Amino acid sequence: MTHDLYPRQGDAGLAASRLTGESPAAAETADWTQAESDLLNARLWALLERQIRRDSQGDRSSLRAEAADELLASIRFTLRAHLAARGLPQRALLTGDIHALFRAAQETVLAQTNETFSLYRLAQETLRTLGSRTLASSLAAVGGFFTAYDARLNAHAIPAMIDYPPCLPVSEALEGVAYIRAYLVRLLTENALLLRLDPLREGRLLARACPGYRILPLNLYEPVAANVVGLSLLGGGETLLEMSRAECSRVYALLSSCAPGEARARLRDAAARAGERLGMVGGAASDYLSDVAAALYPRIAAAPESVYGVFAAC
Amino acid sequence: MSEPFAVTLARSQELALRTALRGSNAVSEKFGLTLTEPEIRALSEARQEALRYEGRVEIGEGVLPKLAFAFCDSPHIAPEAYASTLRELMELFYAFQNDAEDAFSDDELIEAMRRVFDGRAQGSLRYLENLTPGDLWRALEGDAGQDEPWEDTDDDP
Repeated sequence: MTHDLYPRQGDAGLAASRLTGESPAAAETADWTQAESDLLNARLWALLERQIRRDSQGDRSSLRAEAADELLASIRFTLRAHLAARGLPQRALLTGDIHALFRAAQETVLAQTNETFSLYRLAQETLRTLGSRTLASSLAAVGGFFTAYDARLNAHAIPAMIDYPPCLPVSEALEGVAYIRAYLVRLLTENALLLRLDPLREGRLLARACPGYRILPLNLYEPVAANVVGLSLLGGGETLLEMSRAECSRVYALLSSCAPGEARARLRDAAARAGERLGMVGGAASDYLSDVAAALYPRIAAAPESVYGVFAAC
Repeated sequence: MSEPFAVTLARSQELALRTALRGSNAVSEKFGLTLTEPEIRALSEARQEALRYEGRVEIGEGVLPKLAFAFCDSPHIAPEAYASTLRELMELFYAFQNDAEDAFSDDELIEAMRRVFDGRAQGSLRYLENLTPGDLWRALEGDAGQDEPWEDTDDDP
């Protein structure tokens, strides 16, 4: 931190490049002039000074570089969230009162936190945990996040121990409440499929896939989705859950003769048909199932026996 | 191309610090202590170095002017050692804040350092540098060890 924020030749534009980080707008600052980068850095520094005073309640004029790094990361996250929410360009940071802009950005993050809390309440009310302890404890940890989260000074932090993995992982680039929001959206999207099927049969399927699914940090959706797609590919099946070893082999035979692109397309078609049958036409749950279906292909195509590791056969 | 941001930032901070140190002379000269322009410049540079060494970031004019105001009436600082003493006090200040994990406010830490410096340490910076955060807390609470003056065998100022 000292070397980043403290005087050193060649540091120009550092904070500017850090602000954009991994956001899609990162390229937007690539053509900035040196003067624009300098201006942004000076404005970020002004915000950092304000946050340092706020953090120490005006009692300290210095702090550890690591702590300053965290405050700067929080500032960057807050500004990024605001620009994205308002559809503003990066150059909006160069004009007007930066402190007013930052206050507005903090309000944006607070509003997003409230919206995310609503998602959490919905998850609390509707998630089918099927006995998974890690899902239950992770949901509780998300609840704790809202108590521990400091949107003013550590907006980028994720104060929660979350073990339960969604089927499709949340991007590691997401921070703060944005990560929690994406995580909850994943859980609710996966839950949309789980709620459409019989929980007892789901439980049996999961036990076949992994007997320790209640204790281990294993995703509940993936084994269910795999069988749903596999059976849909074969033309149906009364419940879209129970799949025999012979049916697993048929899936392999069907797909191994296709080019990868065609195989993935067939899996997506199967997911779409399953979605229709289950009343998930269009929307996030349907798209998610399609993506998960396509992602099954490399595991199915790996070897004839590999399908038994993808589908939970009876 | 414009001047690199970091250099601009350093310059503006140094200017603020130098102005504040010049201002502190108005008070310290009443006690026979004055910082010359070269000493002010050297202290300003030493501040950047100390912050880098201790891995800290400082805002505004920083702690040096506060140290100057707090210590200028100490009977243990000789005029010729004023600048070097301030420099060492500043370095100790940053180190203490790190050791104490920023548990002290600026004013609390300066007060604790001053009490020990004038008390048990009898002006010895060597004594000061061996203090623990616990020692500083105790000093702040009122135990500066007035009863056992420190006898320094080295040639400390």
